[in-house]
Amino acid sequence: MNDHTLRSFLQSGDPAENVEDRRLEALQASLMQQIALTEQEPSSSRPVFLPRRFLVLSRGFAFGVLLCGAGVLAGRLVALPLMAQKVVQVEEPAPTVLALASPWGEWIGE
Amino acid sequence: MHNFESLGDPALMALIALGDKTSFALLSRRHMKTMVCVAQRILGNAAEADEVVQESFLRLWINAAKWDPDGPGTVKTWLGRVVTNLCLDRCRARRTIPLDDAGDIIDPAQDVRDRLGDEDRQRVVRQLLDKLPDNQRIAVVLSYFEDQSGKEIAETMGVSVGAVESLLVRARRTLREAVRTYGFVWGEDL
Repeated sequence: MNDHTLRSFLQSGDPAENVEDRRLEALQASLMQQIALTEQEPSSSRPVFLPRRFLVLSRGFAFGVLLCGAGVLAGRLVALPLMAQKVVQVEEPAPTVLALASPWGEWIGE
Repeated sequence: MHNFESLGDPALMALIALGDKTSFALLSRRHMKTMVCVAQRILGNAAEADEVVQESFLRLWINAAKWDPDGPGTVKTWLGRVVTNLCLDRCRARRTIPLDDAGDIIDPAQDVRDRLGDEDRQRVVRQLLDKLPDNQRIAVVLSYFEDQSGKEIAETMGVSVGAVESLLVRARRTLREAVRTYGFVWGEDL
């Protein structure tokens, strides 16, 4: 049996030979109904995605804040025992001094 | 009023991506019959074929914006790929067929051309196609019934042209053996 014969043999008994137009029309109508249904879905149920750049920036910012907090805490932990043993004398400056030492000191002083 | 009928598939896809239902209706009508026939030949079941085609067109509606007109393949091959993949999923899911759905086995004693009516002939071809592994059946359906080239089949199935040729060679061998086993006589070549 050559290829041409096999082809004509298979095509003579095509399992999809009798696909009716009526069936296709029904399928089309059902499909259009489903499309309409997908459009009627409430927008609140759809997930809202933030831009990727925004997510990366906000994560970076949060990481930076955490790092600063951790640095202050570590500094305190190291300084406290040294202060207790009088190895170092740290005098807490008065708030006004702190304010004057800041870049806005001159402006505040006025 | 635009004449949508004259628009090609890529232009319709662009309009569908914007949510145009008229374009979708036109595109789906354009390819519906081909996809139904492909699915029915692979699955051998009209109801399942309809479900697969419906699911495929819904995916087209949802993912129209992602379709790249400059990419490999056409809308038809993309759609064909979705249909064949969904058919493959169904074939894998129904490895065991209930005996009632399997149909009667044709008596292989007589000449197939003389004896068989249209329905019986369809059943014989169905049984022959069912003897093939899923990938070979899809290649045979696209080649022998849809007259697609090796390149088109490769694009639809997502494999190389060489792999398609290999699938078709093995399928032909299996089909010839099956035809001999059945004792069917078809022409003088057997």
